[in-house]
Amino acid sequence: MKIDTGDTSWLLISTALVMLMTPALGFFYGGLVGKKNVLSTLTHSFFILCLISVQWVLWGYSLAFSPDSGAGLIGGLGWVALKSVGFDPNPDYAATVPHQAFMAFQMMFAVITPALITGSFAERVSFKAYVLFSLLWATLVYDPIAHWVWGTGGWLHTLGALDFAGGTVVHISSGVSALVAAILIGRRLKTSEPHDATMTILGASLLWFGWFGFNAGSALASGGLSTSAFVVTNTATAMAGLTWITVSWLHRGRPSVLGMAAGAVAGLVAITPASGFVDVSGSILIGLGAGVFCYLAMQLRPRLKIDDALDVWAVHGIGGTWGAIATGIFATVAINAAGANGLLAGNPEQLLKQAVAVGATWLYAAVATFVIVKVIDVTIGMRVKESEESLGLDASQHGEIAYQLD
Amino acid sequence: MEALENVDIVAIASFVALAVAWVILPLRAPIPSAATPAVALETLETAAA
Repeated sequence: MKIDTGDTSWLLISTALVMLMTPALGFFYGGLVGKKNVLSTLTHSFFILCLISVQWVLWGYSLAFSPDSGAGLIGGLGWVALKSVGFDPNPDYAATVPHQAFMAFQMMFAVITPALITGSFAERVSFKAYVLFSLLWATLVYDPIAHWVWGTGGWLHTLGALDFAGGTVVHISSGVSALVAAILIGRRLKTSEPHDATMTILGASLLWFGWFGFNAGSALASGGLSTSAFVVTNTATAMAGLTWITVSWLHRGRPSVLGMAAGAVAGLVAITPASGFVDVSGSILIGLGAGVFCYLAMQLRPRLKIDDALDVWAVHGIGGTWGAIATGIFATVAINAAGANGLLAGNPEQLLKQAVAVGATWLYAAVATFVIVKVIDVTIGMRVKESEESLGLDASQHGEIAYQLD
Repeated sequence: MEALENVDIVAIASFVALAVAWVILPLRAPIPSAATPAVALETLETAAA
């Protein structure tokens, strides 16, 4: 199997782009919290970048991508510590790049997914509990679902469900888990206003930049498909930002700048599973739907009295669900011959497959996260003390503060 | 495939509808409490100086 240097270059650059998304997420979230919880929120992303980078090479990649253990549910342990994961291509995943390049690209997906969840329990969870939760969740939730959808022999992969870059694996899994975690952990003593909107806009901009690696990189080669994924990613994101700002203008009376940033992220989420299968008009409607559905979902938060602090469920859970379903509506083999036609191209069965993937991911992520949070809560406790929460997590958990302005 | 061609029309109509909304929607929400009239006045005076 011959290595293509162009494909390898693109995949390694994409890996670096996706790596940037995790600290970018930290800035996106960091601007939305109060000023006494900025460092802890940034740390929730940065620490996971370190934590899962090691977990992934030790056992995460093996559980997700090594040959199936028999039931389509999980890989084996044959690739622990990257045994047998070398520099020759693995044709099951990417035929023209070194196997380790594919592994590294997938590592950045595994990193950002638990980091997404941290927005739901911001400003009230102890550092120790967060570390344990992230490690258990990555191993028991992310790795199996990645295997179902992308692993050779995974049951959703075998079923024919389409997920180009992680609508189910990354966004539904994290969004649903965020909702469950927020319910179990409970509300903050006092909610915060965003302390630095500029930080959030910068974070959203860097997320958008990095997402080109996330989606266009998922072609695993440089060429027509990666170009198509790049274009539809940008288009859907732009359309979702425009839609959200318009809907918020209709609803609240002014075009919200933070809303535009949230809308763009919702568009990025929604186009993720579809980015290798839909054309540009489909991407516009996916962006439109993301702007409307995720905005409406966000309005439910105060009514349900669930303190998903940074709206992870509304943006990632609902955005990912819409994107996965929309893939079954708008997909066409004219874009990707290795994919499938969707409903509008005369294949309603694909929509059913997408619904099965969505339902299974919702169910497993919810149940597994419930168990993980409960176990941590009864052993070391999920929340900090009330006095520590009032002081802020930066000081109480890290002994540092973000700003020293006189 | 005809259904996919209709998607083009819906996409164009959606974008045009948004553009119309930006032109006709009024700005009607109250100014946030943090931006008080006194601060706004001070900002204007500083800019004028």
